[in-house]
Amino acid sequence: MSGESATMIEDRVLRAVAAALGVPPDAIVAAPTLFDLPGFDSLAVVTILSRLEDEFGAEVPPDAIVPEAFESLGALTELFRATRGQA
Amino acid sequence: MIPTLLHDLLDHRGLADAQAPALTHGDRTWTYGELARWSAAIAGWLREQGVGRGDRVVILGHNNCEAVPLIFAASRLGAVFVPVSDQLPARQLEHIVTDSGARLVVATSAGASAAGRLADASVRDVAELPALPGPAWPGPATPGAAPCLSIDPACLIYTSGSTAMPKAVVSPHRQVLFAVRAISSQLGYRDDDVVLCCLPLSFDYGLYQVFLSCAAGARLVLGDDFDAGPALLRRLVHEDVSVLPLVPSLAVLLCRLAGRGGQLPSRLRMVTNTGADLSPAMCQQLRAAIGDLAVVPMFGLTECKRVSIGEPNLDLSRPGSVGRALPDTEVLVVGEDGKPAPPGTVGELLVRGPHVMAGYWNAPELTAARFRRDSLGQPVLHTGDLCRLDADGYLYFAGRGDDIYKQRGVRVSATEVEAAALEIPGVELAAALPPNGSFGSRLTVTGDLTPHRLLAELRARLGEQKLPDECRVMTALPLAINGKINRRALDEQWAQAAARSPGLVREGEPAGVGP
Repeated sequence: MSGESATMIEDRVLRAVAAALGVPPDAIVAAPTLFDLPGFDSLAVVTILSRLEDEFGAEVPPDAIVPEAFESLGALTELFRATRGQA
Repeated sequence: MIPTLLHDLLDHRGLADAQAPALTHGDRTWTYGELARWSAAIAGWLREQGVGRGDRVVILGHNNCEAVPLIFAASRLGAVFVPVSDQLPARQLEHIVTDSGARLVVATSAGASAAGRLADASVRDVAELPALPGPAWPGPATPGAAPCLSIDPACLIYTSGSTAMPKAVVSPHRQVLFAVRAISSQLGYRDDDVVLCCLPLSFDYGLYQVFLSCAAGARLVLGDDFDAGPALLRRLVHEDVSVLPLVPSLAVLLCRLAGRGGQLPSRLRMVTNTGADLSPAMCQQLRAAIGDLAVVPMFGLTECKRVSIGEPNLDLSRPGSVGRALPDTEVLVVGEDGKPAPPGTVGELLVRGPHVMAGYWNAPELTAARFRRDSLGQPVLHTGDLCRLDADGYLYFAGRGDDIYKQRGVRVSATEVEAAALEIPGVELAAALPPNGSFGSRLTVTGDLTPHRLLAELRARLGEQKLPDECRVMTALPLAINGKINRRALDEQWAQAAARSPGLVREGEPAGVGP
C-alpha cells in the first residue's frame, strides 16, 4: 500500500471520470452529484469502474459496488482508497 | 379458468399457488396470494378516488413495487392504466397526462413533484396507497359482473417518437392476453424461474415481464437503475436469476461485468433480446461468459407487442434473424405495389393476427394509416418497418422506413451500416444517423478498437459508396429510459462535438476519438 494521499487519489479519480465522460474536470467538481453529469448512466458507471480499476490496479469487491459509492467524487475516492487498502 | 381480463392471470395464481413467491423488490418478496389481496385492496381505494370503468389511471414511477398491484387493481375496475416513467422530461409528462385524459395520477415522490405542476389531474403519492391487508382481510365487496369486456382497453402504452410527442397504443385485454399466451408458448417461462426485469415498466418489454411471470407462476424481481448498471451481476447471483430480458446496452453491460471476474450467475439459463440486433460476437461472448445460456432474438413493436421470436441461439444458424412469427399470427413483406415480395427481398412489414392492438389513442388519421383492414374487415398492421423473409419464413429487420437515405448515388439504411459495424471484432454497440441539413451520415460505436481500424473494416464491408461520412469510437452511447440508444441525444452530441472540433473526421481520413 502506497502512502498516496486522499487528494492525490481524488485527482486521479477526477481525471479518469473526466476522460470517460468527455467532460472537463471543472464540470465534475461543480456538479451536485455525479449522477447529474451528462452521460453518467449505468453503462458509463461500469466504464468508469473498469477504468479506475485499471488505473489503480485493484478490483473493487462486488459488495462494495453500491449506488452511494458513485454519488460523488469523494465517495469514489473513498471507494478506491479502501479497495487499495485491502489489496 | 381461461383468463379473459388481465387480473384473471393474477387471481388464477392467487388461488392455485397462493404461497408461491411472485414479486421481489429490494429485499422484500410478496407471494401470489399477497399480491392478489394487495391489488384488491388498492382497487377498493381507486374506487374511492372515483375511478371506474374506462377511466385512465397514470402510474407514474420507476419500477416501484406498488406499480405491480396497481396495474392489476386498475384491471379489476375495468379502468385503463397508463405506465409512465418518472424520469420523463416534464413537457412529455404533461402531454401524456393531458392526452390520456387521466382521471388520476398515482406517482412516486419523484414523479409527484414533477406531476404537481399539472393543473388538471388529481395526483396521489404511492405512499397513500393501502398497505397489504393481513390474511384475515374479508376482501372487497366485489361486484358480481365482470368490470368490462375483454375487447375493452387494459392499458395505454406511450411510445416516444424520435421527433414527435409520445403517442399511445391502445392495448385491449384480449390482445394483451393473446400476446402473453403466444410469447409464453415460445419462451417457456417456468414456475421455478426467477425473472429479473431492470427495464422500466413504462416500456412494453418491461411491462410484459409482469404478465409473463404471472402466467408461468415465476418470481419477478423488479430491478432499478443500479441493477441495470454496476450491480447487475451481483443481483443476478444474489437472486438466483434464471431469465434476463436484455436490450443490447444491457448485454454489453453484462459482458463487461462478467469480464471483471468474480461469481457468475450459474442459474441464468435464458436471455432474450429485442430493440436492436445483438452483434454475433456479443451473443458468443454471453455464451462464453455464462455456460449453457440460451440467447433468444426477438422483434416487436408496441402496435402488436411482439412480432417474432427465434429459437435459442438462432444467431449460430441464421445470423441477423429475429425468428419467425408468433403462433397464429402472420408476417408479410410487401413491395411498393403492395404485393408480397419474393424471399430475400426487402419490403414493408405487415402483421396479421389477434395481437394487433386497437389503434392509437386520440389519433384517428395515424390509426387509419397503420391499422388497416383486409377485405373481410380483419386488422392488418402496416408497420412502416423494412424487413425481409427467407425461404423458411425467418424474419430479418432491415430498417425503419425513415432511416433510408441516398448517398453517393446509392440507397443506404442506417440499420445496414449498424449491422456491418457490429460484425467488426471489438465493436459492442453501433448507432448510425442518416444525413440531415448540417451533417452527412454519421456512425458512433462503442468498443475496443481504434478509429482507424473501424474505418478500414467498414470500408471492406460496405464499400466506399456506403461508408459513413464521419465515424467515432466512444466509451458510451447516450441511452433512453428504456435502454435503447437515444438518437436525438446522439445527434446533439455530434453537433456539440462539431462545434468544439470542426471537421472531426472526414471521409478518407483516420477517424477521430471524441470528444
